[in-house]
Amino acid sequence: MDLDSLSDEQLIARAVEADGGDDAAAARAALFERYHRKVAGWCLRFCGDRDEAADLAQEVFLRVHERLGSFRGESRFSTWLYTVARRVAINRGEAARRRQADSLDDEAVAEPVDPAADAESAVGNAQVLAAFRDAMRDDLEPLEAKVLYLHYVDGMTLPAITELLALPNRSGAKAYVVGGRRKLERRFGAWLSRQGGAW
Amino acid sequence: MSDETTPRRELADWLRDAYAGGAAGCPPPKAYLADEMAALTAEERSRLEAHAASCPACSAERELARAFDAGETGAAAEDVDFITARLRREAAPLATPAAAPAKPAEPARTGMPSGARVVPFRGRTAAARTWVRFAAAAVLVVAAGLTVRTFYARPPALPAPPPGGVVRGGEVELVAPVAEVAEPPRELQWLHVAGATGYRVRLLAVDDTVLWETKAGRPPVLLPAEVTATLQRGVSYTWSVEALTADGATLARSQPARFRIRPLPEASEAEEDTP
Repeated sequence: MDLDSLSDEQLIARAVEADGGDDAAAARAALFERYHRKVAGWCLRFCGDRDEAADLAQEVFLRVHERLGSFRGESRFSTWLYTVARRVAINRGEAARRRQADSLDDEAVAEPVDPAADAESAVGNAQVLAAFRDAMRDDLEPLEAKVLYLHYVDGMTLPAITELLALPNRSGAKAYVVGGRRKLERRFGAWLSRQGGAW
Repeated sequence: MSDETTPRRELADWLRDAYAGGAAGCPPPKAYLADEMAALTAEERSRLEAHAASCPACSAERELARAFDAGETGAAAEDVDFITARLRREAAPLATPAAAPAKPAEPARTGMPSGARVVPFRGRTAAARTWVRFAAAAVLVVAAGLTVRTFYARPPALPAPPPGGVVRGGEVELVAPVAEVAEPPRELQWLHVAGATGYRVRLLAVDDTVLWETKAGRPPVLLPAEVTATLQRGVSYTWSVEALTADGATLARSQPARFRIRPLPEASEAEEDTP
């Protein structure tokens, strides 16, 4: 069987066959061949560092391997693959941030905050969250807002954002983060301090 | 919530929460992939582009989607080769078939970039060895994930969610009720998922019997009085939400959230409190 003549969906059907075996392994390998360089390229863009990107790509394919059986063909495989890759990338960044925050807190001795305030923030502060979104849209330059989102929400590093957006200025994404933060601080800084947060 | 010290919330936390699950009206990030855009009508495409032009989140997600579409274009070939080599070494189950070497894929049909190359596959013994390494890696990844979840999940996972906290599930985040509540809930509240056009909501008994199920357009959903009336104090219930697309496909799911209606004080205790 020439696997190259099969569609992604046909390959997946073979790859997840219950009895596995050589055909399933070959189908998985064919899928890998189709997409691994695409994923590698995206991981490089997302991380901006090839070692990090290699780790990310590895985790992406690990996740694909684990979850291929849950792919139900409701979207294109490439779309599903992107969704997996993006989720893995963001989760990795989130985990790294939390490790870093934990390490910093160990050094600085974090101030205890009333846990109820945190729970309240998710429920009762929907308006505050909407205000953050409004400020991002209305107070910041579009490029500033885009950089802030990629850095703080998606967890990309500043050099990676500079590359992704092909920013020509000398300090790259950092300049936009500084500018954007300053504008948000003007609007939310005092409030955030009252919440026990940091800027 | 436990008595652990809660980390200070910073700007990044607020921004992440502001866009968690997508801001209202935003499509899912995958909508900006070229294949997905191509499936839209011209009018839908221009609406999507107009939205991205005024929405920082979608503008950023569009960049990431375009980067995926670009594949390895623009990336240094030696960096891609480096990653490829690592993948072949360490992500073997997907990369290594037990079959004979495959022919190079046809770029135009498969979407594989033109610079792609295929190296000969390893034999089954090597594949078996890499399976063992892979399994060990998987265990480590799962263990690391569980550790992070255990220590940093905010709030903790079931079965003991914090009072009033948000249960962060697959992608749908359940808000209330969770944990112990004073009165039978009148509504179920969760965070809207971008791109969802409806939700399937289920209320279950502890043995997973479905007590009530409905579809809702947006959160929250009101519990009918006849359902609320059947809820008993001191008994735990769970509920879950599935976000649906316009064609009824599941876009995201929550983890089940558990809540319990606080029992009323015993008569003797109430009498003791009476002066």
